[in-house]
Amino acid sequence: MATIADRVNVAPERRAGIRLVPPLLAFLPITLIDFFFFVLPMLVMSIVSVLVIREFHITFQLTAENYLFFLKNPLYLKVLGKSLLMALATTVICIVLSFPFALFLTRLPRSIQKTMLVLVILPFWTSYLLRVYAWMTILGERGLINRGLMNLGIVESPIRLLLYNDYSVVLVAVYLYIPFSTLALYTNLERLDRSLIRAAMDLGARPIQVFLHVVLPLMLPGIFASFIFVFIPMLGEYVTPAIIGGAHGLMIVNVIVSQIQALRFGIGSAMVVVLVALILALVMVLRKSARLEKIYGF
Amino acid sequence: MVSKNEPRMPIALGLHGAAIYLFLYLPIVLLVFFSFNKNPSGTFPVTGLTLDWYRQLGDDYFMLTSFKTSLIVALTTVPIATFAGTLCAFGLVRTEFRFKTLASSFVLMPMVVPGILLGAAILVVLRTVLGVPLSIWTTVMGHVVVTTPYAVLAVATRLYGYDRVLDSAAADLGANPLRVFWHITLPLITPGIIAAALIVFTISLDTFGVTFFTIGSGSTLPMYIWAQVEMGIRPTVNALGTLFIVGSIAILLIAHLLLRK
Repeated sequence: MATIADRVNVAPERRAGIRLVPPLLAFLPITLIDFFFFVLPMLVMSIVSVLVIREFHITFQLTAENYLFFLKNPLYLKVLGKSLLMALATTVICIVLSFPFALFLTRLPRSIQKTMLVLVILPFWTSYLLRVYAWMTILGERGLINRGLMNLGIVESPIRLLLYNDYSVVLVAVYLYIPFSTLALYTNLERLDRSLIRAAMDLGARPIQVFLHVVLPLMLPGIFASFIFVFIPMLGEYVTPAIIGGAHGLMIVNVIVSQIQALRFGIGSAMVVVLVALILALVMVLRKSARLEKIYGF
Repeated sequence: MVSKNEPRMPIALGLHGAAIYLFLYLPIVLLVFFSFNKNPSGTFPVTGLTLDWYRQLGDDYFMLTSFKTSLIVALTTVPIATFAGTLCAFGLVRTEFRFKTLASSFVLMPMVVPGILLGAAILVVLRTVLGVPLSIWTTVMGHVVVTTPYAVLAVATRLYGYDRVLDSAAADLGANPLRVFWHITLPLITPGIIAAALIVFTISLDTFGVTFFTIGSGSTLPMYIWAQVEMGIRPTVNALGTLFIVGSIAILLIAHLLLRK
């Protein structure tokens, strides 16, 4: 039996296709692209961050000034801390809202399930900037909510609190990223062995016990994947805080961008190095637990 | 008959599902709705129907040149990213090697680094080390980096569903590897490659982050939108948004149909 299986599954890749594109050659173009336009700029940036810059030219004088700048200005650390909290809040809200939604999707009739799933992802493919902008027509002074409240006579003048703060940024971020957490949890739910839930119930577990001790542990890969797809991009969010957050709802990337725009390349570089290192470290930690290969295929 | 035993949909679950769809589509529906509203503030109240904002958009020289730049950038990015992504997908799906997980992490890495920071890094290198001026070509570099992982995923999806017995059948019948690739493999994965190209095109057209610091004095469509949005709600932006949404959904539905099988 093994030999037949071997001939069907292994022989073809030895005989055809594979030899034509040896692994090294297959990875050559993407390696060149990523090396020159991704790894190299990031490397140079980390070198620039520890060198003295004079009139846009690096000198070969070492300095720790750019990193000490953080410690001397606790405001920047505060913004970083706030950004982490906002990203965490967004992720938790996304997961809490997505879980019943993903359950809803799995219970739809098979014939429409795929279509309904595509409808969840579809907004992601339309203009990102415009979807953030569209929220101004909902939350703005003359937006949908204020209009509705005034028509109902609940308030007399528009509420300004709906825009330009951390909460409105989190709300719009939940809107932007909920398709991702939904997809991650849906994939996880689809693979869940329902007989385990039935077994727990047969053994007399209460619904809350079933949820905490059976469902939740089985959903951990989907929850970790949600962190990769929601927490990580939200930590690097620039557009939403800039448009929806205003001066009070800024996040760490907005601060970094203003440093680069002010041509403070040294301090800007140091901040980029810290944030990118943090993001990559988080992804490394989350990746294994998230079992991304189940979603991507490799 | 156990499979027929589908659990009933509780009402609360159905309501929650409907509410999420409303949440997902309300902003888009409002954007489209206001693009036809006469009120020049681009929001409530509704004062009548008009196509004026679409007409004004057609006369907006800055918008038209930005759109042209976006097309040039996207059409340059598509062949490069699709080619690199397709080859890489073959490498990831069709071969086994020791550091495969590491390789796929590396390939997908640009997806997790904020585009605007990558743009900043490219800017810093060009300004402090190389002394090269910014142009749309520096933007193309950034777009290629950002879009290639998506091309990899699109082609890999198609390659996974590929029945390799077809290749071996052709080989058994005496075709050499080149002929197998050209006459069997390539035609079968072409839909995946076209889907990858369409996805890269759409993302490139919409990419704001990496463009921000690399475009220099030029402007792409997202940069134009950014400049407009910073001035608040504008009816012409609603009109542009409507066209953009209709266009990208049309392109992606085609990509979806190509990837389905």
